[in-house]
Amino acid sequence: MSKPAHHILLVDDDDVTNFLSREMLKIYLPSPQIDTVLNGQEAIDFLHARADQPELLPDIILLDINMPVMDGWEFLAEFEKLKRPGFEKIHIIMFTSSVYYEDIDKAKTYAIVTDIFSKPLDESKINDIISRCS
Amino acid sequence: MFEGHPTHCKHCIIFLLILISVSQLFAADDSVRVQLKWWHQFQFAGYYAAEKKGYYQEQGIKVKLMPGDPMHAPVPQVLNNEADFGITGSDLVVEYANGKPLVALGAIFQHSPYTILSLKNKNIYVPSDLIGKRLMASPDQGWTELKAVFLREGIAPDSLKILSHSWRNTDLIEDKADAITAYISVEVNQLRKMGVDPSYILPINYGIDFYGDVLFTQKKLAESEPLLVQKFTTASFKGWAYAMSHTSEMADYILSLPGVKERGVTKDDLLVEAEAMRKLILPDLVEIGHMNEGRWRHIIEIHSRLGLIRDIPDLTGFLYDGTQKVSSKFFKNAVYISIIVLSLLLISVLYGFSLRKAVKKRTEELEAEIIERAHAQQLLRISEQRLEMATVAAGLGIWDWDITNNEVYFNDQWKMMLGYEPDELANSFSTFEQLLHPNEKAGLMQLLNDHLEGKSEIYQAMIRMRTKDRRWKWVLTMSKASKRDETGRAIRLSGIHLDIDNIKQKEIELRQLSQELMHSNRELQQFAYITSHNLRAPVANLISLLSLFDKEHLSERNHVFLEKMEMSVERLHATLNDLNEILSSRANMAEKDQVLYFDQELKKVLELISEEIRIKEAVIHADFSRAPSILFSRKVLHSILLNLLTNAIKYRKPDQAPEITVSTEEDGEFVILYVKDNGMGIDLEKYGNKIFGLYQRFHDNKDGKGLGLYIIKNQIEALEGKIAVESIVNKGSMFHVFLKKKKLSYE
Repeated sequence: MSKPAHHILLVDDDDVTNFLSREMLKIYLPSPQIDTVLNGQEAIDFLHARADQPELLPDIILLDINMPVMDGWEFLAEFEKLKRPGFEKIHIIMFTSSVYYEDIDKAKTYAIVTDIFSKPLDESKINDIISRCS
Repeated sequence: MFEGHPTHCKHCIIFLLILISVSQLFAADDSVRVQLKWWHQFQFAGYYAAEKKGYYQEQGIKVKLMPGDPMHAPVPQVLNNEADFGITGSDLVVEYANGKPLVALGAIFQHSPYTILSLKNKNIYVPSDLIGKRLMASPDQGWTELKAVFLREGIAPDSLKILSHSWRNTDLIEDKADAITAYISVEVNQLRKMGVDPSYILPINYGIDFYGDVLFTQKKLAESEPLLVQKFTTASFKGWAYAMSHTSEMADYILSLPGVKERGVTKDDLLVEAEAMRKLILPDLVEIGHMNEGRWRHIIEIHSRLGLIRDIPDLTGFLYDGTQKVSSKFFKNAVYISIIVLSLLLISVLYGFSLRKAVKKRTEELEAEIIERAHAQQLLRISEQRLEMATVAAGLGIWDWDITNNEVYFNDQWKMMLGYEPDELANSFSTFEQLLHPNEKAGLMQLLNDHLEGKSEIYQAMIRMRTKDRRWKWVLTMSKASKRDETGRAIRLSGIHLDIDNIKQKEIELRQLSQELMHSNRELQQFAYITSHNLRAPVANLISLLSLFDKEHLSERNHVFLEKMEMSVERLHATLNDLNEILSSRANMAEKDQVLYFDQELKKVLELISEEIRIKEAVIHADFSRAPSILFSRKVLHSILLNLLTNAIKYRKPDQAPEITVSTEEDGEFVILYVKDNGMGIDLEKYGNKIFGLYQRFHDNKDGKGLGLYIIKNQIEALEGKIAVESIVNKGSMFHVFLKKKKLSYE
């Protein structure tokens, strides 16, 4: 592992999902730093606020697809436009309850998307995510 | 002919007796000299006939026929009182115009026999071929007329070398001349007989149409002896009529005249001459001796243009009119009597036996012909009626466009189809244009143009046309050019109009319905997607929450509840996964077809289940030799193979390693994929085709969900295929999958 502690940003409008993801990550990762926003727009704002301090940026974003205000796809389009220093190091994991091929195929067309996982998180998925992102 | 039938002869004699008795009251007994234009030949047959048959004698006149030669030209002979009558050509009018007191009594030859004769090997075919060439001509013998041909063709006569006429055809053969003036009816045949091939130029082909031989006399005689002139003319013409219908008899007679045989003339020569003359005299069309004043004026005009006539003369003195000259009341009565007698004669002739027989025969022929024609007409009418009935029954409009003349025809049905009465619409192209839907116009005109230019084989379009009650009606218009010019452009186009409004409306309704169905289908899919998605998220959360739940400190009772809760959640989760799988498999249909080789695709699928195969010691055989490949969806083929193979392994017999055979076969529009196993088999009598239903399971203790067959059946049927199974319990099953072949061009 390149970093002693993982900094993960959860982007999901579902409180229960966020709560569970946080719990799971805390169980299986050593003292992770976890931030939570409720949609794509809040995630963009979050990243903007830290643009000048790359050390405060998350390593991994767990991105839901269906969200109000700005959904996962819209976030990806916005994020691609930002091109700020340090942003390129961020791993984006699509994290969805969808199991549709369409969504999976679509996610694969984004170069900035590292992988796509279906909910819920469990130990094996967390291990996969960390290995994909290191 | 009168003389031909003894029955008629009786009547003739009565008729002639009457005529003679009437005319003899005036006639003086005259003896006359006739200057022929040339030697004795068929050219003068009419006069010989009048003499031989006694027509002159009947008129009470004695006639002396004098043969001509270059030294005895008819006009001077008559003017010098050496002859009373003469025969010459159209140049007679030139003499008259130049003040000679001559009277034309009648034209025997309606067209001139003069020609310029040459030989084919001299290559003289048109007047211009003669420039600079030697031509033998004689001013008395048609040269005037032939000169007109050259002037008309813009050739100066002095550009020819005119030689005086030797009247020897051999001069042409011996190359003493390049051409000679001649009679078409005489010299042409003479040359042929000498074994050479003649060529000739005819004035009539260059707009010069003169009278040929004309019978004439002096003005003096015509005035002093009108009756004599009348009698002579009548008898001569009658002789001509006889001669032209008895050519053989006349030829024999002419041969007996002095000098004829001596010149080497044969009967055949005379008969050939007679036939050539027939085309010039036209005895069957024109009354012998007929003259037309206009025709003479035309002849004068041409001579005047040639500078041969200075002042256009008055023709009144030139044209002889017997009835005017001899105008006594008595004679007139005689003519009337003659007419009455003639009529009576005609009536009696009509009842004559031979004629009656002929009439009867002809009538029978005519009757037969009429019956036959009536029959043919009836057949035609029936055929027309059939066509008409079929056209009306089919409601077929017919149109016909003559492009060259821009004439258009529409049948009644064409107009009635649009709600109009036949007389309410004009037959014109603009009628069609005005009724055509404006949106259709540009496209249709393009189609039409392409067809007119031959770029398309047929012209066919579905168009909207305005009806009388202002609706738009769908019409199928169809045609194929019936006539094209040499450039391939259509000059006539005929076609039909078919009312397809009902069909078209149904098609539109169907299309709308199908669009609505597609739309609601999409909505359903969307609904399924949202539902499954929205359900799945909380279920996933429940699973996680349950897994994090601290079960240690629960009471025994709550522990049981929690366990049941976990089981329910697990079940819900599984169902949702299955639903998602079905929905995903539907989404797969959109995948593009590609050429798939069964051996390669099977290999890929076997890799996915290699672990399973190894553990269960399954043996897989494959034979794709009969149908090695197919154009198909890869995902669907994989899904089929995967499901059937895993099923075959899953439902193996407990005591036997699974043995599976995969093969293919061509079957018309399908490729059949067979998957055969030696497994437990299915009791088809019991379950029938339920095996392809959703959540149908036929074996206990298996991890099957009854989903696989349902999914592949759906996929196969969506691609227009089908699936069937044969099975014997404890023996094995064989699945037949009919994969519908796609055509490569299909997208």
